[in-house]
Amino acid sequence: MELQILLFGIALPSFVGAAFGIWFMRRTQAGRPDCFVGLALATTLFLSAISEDSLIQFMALNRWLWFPISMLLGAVVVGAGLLFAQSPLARTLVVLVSTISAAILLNIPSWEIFTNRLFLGVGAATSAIFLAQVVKRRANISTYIALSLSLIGPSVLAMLSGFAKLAIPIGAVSFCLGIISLIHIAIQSKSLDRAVGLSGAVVIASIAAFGAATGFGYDTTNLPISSWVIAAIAPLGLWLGEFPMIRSRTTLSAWARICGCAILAATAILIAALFLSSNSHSLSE
Amino acid sequence: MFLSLAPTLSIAASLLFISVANTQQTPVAAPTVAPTTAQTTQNKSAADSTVWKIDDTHSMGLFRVQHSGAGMFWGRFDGVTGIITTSGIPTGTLALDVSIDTNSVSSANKDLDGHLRSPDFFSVKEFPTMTFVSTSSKKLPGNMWEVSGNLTMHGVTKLITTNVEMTGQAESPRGKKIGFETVFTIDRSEFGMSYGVEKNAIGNSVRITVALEAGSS
Repeated sequence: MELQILLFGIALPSFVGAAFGIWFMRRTQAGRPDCFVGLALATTLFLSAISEDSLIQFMALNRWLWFPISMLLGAVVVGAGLLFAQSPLARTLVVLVSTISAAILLNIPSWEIFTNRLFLGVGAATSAIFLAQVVKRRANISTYIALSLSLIGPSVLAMLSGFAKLAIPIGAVSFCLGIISLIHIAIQSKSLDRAVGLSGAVVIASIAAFGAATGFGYDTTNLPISSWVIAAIAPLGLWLGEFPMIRSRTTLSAWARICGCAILAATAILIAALFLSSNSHSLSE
Repeated sequence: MFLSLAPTLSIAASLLFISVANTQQTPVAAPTVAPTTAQTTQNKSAADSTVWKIDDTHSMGLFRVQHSGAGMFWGRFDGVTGIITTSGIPTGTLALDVSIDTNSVSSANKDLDGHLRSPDFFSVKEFPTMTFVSTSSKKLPGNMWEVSGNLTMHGVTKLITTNVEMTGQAESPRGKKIGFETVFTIDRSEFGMSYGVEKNAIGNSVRITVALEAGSS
């Protein structure tokens, strides 16, 4: 049974997403390879989510599915927008429009108020823009690994709060990035160097932020809000490699990026785990 | 620049339109329920009918479902409230209007409770109560009634029929008391609660026991 969850919830969507992403990246015209990798990652999330729940009547019965759907539609918006947007300002506007549009769709418990979703979208867009700066500058395998680790944060928090159907799709995207890392190591292709790209950065930042927001919205275990916030910004751990003392040293910077994301993800998980264990302890007393 | 943003803006506008529709979306409305047996009874023989208020301290809901195709997993709900209307006990009609607080679900394991409250199962933030409102009742031999009514759970309403047993009736210094119990089985996937069903991790068929104690008001 667990094997089926691994197969249909994680393995198949991840391999489809990785194949889709690499195909997109290799097929897209030179110099513009970062339009649809985000769509590949969002497809992984969506396929994994619908392996867990039915889209039938999702607006009323399975409203959490707005999360993967909004990610998929947001990825389409950012991918299509980046095909045409030339200037940095236009690309920034594409990022803002896609993340805010996706956030507005996220009509789930605790986020019913429109302005809250708007702020969430602006926050995710800000995170995506900051993330894109590093992703653009550091397009190599350490970035894939770091981003893969960063998504473990919201995934594990969702699992700790009891929301397995949310944890599995986010975990699948993390696994998908891990597969791309392995392929990158195996074939050593320069064309994979920009695989994450701006669209990938936007989707990863959004999955972390909106995934944490969805988990927080449905959480009944009252995990500390700080754990959700840290999980939401875990991809920004990439910036650890950009510290002045570190940024000029390639290997050290790569390890710092990986450690930065891992530390943020681990901190979020640790806060939640300590909270749950302290609560269990007080109950047993 | 604005021309280059046109595709993005047009898709975004579509998403906003969907969003507005989504905001206006309301949970699945329960079908209009015919007048309850309680109301009918009161119209016919108001003098005979007694309205009982469910005592949430001494009432509970229990459920039993198969786990991993092997053992039976039990859980309970404590937040059981509502009204029971009887007419001419022990031969008359019986009407039930019962509400259960889904957040009161308990398995004696904190981690499992969190899982049961999540959208994997009861999604208590979206569906804080489940209800049963009877629409008709038929007296059976002994202390039994066959009661039909609308069970609303996880945003889905289904008509069910179950046998209800009167377990006792007594007078105490605190007033009159009456007790009922019923056991019925549902397929949880029919109520949109299908986590683990296809993978056979958790059974589809759930046996529900509801034990009620009520006092006359």
